Amino acid sequence: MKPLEMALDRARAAGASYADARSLQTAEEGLTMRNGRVEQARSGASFGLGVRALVDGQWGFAAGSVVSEAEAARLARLAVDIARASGAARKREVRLAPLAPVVGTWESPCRVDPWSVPMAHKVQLLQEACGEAQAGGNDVRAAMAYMQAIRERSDFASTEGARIAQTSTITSAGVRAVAVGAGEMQTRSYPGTFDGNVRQAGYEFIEEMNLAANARRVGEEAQALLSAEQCPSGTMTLILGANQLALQIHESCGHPTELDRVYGTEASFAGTSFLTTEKLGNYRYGSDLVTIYADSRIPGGLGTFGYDDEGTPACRTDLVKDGMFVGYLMSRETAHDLGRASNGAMRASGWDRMPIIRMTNICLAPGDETIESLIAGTDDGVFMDGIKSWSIDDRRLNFQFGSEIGYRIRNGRRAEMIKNPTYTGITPEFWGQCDGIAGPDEWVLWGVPNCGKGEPLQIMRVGHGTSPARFRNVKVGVGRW
Amino acid sequence: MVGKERALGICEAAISASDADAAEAVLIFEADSLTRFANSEIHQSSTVDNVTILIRAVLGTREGWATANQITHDALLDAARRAVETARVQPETPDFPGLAGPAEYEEADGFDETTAAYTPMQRAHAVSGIIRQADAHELNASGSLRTRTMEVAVANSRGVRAWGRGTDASLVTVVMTGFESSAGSGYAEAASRRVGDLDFEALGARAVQKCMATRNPQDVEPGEYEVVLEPSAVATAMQELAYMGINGMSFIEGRSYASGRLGTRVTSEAVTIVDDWRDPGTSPLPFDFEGVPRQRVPLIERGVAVGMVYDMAAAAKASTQSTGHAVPGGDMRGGFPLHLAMSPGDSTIPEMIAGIERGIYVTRFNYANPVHPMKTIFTGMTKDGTFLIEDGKITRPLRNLRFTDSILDGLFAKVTAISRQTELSPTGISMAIYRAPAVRARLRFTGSTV
Repeated sequence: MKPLEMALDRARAAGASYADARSLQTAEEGLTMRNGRVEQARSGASFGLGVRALVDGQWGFAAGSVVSEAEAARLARLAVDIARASGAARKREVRLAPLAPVVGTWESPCRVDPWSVPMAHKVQLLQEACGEAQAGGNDVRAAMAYMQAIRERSDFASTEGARIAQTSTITSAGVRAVAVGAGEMQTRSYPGTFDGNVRQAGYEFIEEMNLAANARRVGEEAQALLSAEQCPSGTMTLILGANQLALQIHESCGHPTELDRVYGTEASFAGTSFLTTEKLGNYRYGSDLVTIYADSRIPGGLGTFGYDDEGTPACRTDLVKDGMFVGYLMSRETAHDLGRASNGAMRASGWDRMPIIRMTNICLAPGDETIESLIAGTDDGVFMDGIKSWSIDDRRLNFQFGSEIGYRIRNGRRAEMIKNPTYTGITPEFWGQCDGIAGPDEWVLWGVPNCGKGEPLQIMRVGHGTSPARFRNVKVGVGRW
Repeated sequence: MVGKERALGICEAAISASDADAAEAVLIFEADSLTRFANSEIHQSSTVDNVTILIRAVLGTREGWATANQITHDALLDAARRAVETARVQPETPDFPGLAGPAEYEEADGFDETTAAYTPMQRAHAVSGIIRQADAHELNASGSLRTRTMEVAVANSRGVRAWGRGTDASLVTVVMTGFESSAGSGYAEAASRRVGDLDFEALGARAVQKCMATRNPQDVEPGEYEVVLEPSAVATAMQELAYMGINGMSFIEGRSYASGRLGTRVTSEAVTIVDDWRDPGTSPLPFDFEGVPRQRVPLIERGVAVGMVYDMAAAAKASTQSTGHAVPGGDMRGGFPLHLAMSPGDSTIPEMIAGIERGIYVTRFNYANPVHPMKTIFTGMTKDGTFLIEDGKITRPLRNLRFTDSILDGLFAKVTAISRQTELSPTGISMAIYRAPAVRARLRFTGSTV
C-alpha cells in the first residue's frame, strides 16, 4: 500500500479535497485452438496504478505502469493538474454522497487454481472439443475451443480512510463451430457466445462445462443451419433462450438504468437513456411478471465483488419491480445528485481507467414456467437463442438482435430449425409483452466479458442471470436476405 | 517516450532472455490523454502511460506468447520463460511460417511534437471553445478530445529490427437541445496525426448548426431510400466491412465477402477501397507487428474485389506473402487494415442532394454491428442529423432510423456519386484512422426510434 499512501499524501498536499488510488496486478493465461491446432497460447502480466483527484469540484485522473512511491507522487500531482485544467470549463462542483470508509478484504471463490492444472491437460481438453465440433459436419470450416484464466489483485485507498484489498479469479471456456457452404455461413457456440461462459471461479468451472460432450451438437447444429429455412418475417410470439435473454437484459435494462447515462455524461459516446429521473417509481417498464435487479453479491458473477472501485460495499438493488421502474445503478457522485446513497456500481476496467458506472450482475427474477410450458402455450411463434448480432439506439429504445439458431413453434410444439433469426422492438413495449418466465431450475448465470463504455474505452466484465421467457407480438425476421 | 535505441534494446534483451529456438519481441508504448465534456462542462480528463512487451517463443513449429508491462530484467526474464513454457506444451503446427526475416523499411515519421506535448490545459481550452458556441445558443455540448503518442518496436532472432512512432488526435462532439425524443442533435468529428489540423471552431459551429436544424424530428415510413451519407457514416460502413471480411484467415476459410469472388464485381463501379498506410493524415507505421513491411493493398477497385490483407499465418495457408497487416500478440489472426480509404469521386454533397427527388440525408451511423458477416449485412441507427430530402432539398429533420442492409450488395452496390472531398474519421483503434468521402447511394431502413 505504500505507493497508494504516497499518492494520497501528495494529492492532498497539492490541493485535492478528495483522492483515491488503486493498484491492480493481473495475471492471465489464454489458449485458443482452431481445428485442433493452437491459434493462440498466451500468458499475460500487467501491473499499474491509477490516481483520481477531486480539486475545486473537478476530477482529474492519471495512471502509469510503474508502481513506485516516486511514480505515485508524480501521478498524484498530474491528476491534480488535470483536475485544475478541467476547471477552465466548470459549471458545477462534483459532490459525493457520504460513505463510511471501509478497511477490508474480499476474495472470490476458487476451488481449483487454474495455474495448478498442467497446460498439457488444457490442450488435450480443447483438442477433444475441437475434434468433436469438426466431426459435426462436413462443412464445418472452423472449429474453435478456448479457455482463459485471469487473476486480479487490487488495492484501493482513499483520503477518507478506505483501505481495501480484493482478489478475483476468473475462468472461461467454450467451443464454437463455423460452417460454410453455398454462400451461407452459420455459427453455433457452447455454452454461450461470449467466450463460452465466464465466471469468478476456479478451473472447476471449466471442467463442469463438459465441452467435448457438447461440441458434437454444436458442430451438427452449425451444419444443419446451412440448409435450414430462413427465419420468417412477421409479428408473432417469441421465446428467448437464456443466453439471448442475457443480452436483451444487458442492452435494454442494464444500460438505461446507468445513472451517468441518464444525466448525459455518456451522451457523445455510449448514449443517454429513456429512463429519466421523473419516471423513477412511476413508470411501467414491463409486464407485472418482470422484476429485474442488480446484485453484486451473487457467488461467481462477473459483476460480483466485495466493494466497488469507490469502496462502496456490494449490495442488491431492484431496478424493475413487478414491471415498474424503481432503481438505478449509481456512483457516489450521481447518487448525491439524486439525493440517494451509492449502490456500488462504480467500476474501472483496469488500473489505467477512471471508474465509471457499470453493470454488476443484472438479473431477471425467475418465474414459474418451464421452457416446455412456454412452448406449449404458443400457437405460432419462434424460439431463438445464442447471441449473434446486437444493436440498440442511443436512448436504449429501438433494438434489433439476432440469434445463432431458431426454431419455429406451431400449435404448442417445437417445429423445424430456422436460420438467421432476428427480432426488433421498442424496449418498454417488448417487456410489456412478456407473459411467461421459466423458473429457477432453468435460470443461468452468464458472464458477459465485453461490455464497452466510456472514453478511453473500458471493456468491462458483467453478469446476467436469466431463464427463458416468452414475449407476444414481436416483429421477427427483419431485413432482406 | 521510450526512444528508438532503448525500445529496440529492450526487445533485444527480451529475445536474449529466451531459450526458445527463435523469439520475437514487440514493444508498444502509448501515452493516451483524453478530455471528455458533457452537459457543457468537462467531467472526465485523464492521462495514461503504459508500455507493453509481447514476447513470442518458437519451439520447432510451436509458438507461445507472453506479455508484461514492467520493463525490468526480472519481468523480461519471467515473460520469456512464460512464453517458452506456453509453447512447449502445444502441438506442432505443420504450416507454421516461422518468424519474419530482416527487411528494409521505408522512412516514415508520423510523430508530431505539438500533439505529443499537448497539455490538459490546452485540451480544456480547445473544448471550452466548443462549449462556448453551444452556450451561445443555449445548447448542451458533449464530446471528447484525445491526443495520443504511440511507439512500436519489433525485433526477432532472425534479425528484424523495426521501430516507428506516431501521434494521433481526434475530436468528437455532439450538441443537443436536450435528451428527450424530440430533441435536436448535431455532430462533428475530425481526426489527424496532428492536433493542429483540428479546427475546433469550425467543428463546434458545424455541430451547433446541425443541432438547431434537427429540432422536432418527424417520422418517415421504413423502406429503401436514396441516401446521401456523410463521410463519418461511410467510414463506419468501411470499418464494419473490415471486421466482417477484410482478413486473410476469413478469406481462406470462405467466411469473407471476397472468398471465391476475387476478380468479380462486388460493389458499384464507383467504389474503390484501398488500405494505404502512406495516406497523409493517418499514422504511417511502415511495418506490422511481425516486422513485415506494410504494403498498400487495393481491396476493391472500380467495384471489383482485387485484394486481401494477410499476416504471416494466413499468407502461409494461402501460399502467398504477408502484406504486413499482422496485429499485436497473435490477435485477429489473418490481419487487419488500419488505413482504409475510399477513393474520392467528382461530386459534392449539394450536388448529390440536388439530384434526389425523395431521400434521406444521414450524418452518421450509431451502434452499427454485423448481422450476417458473409453477406456483409449490418444494422445500426442513424444519429445526430437525419433529414428528409424532397425535390432536391433538405426539407425537415427525421427521427433516428434503423437500417438493416448489406454493405456490398446493398449500400455500396448502389453508389451513384462520390464526393471530391474526403475526411479522416477516428476508429477507436490505436493508429487506425480511415478516410472516407460522402456518397450518394441507396439504403434499406427497417424501423425508427420513438
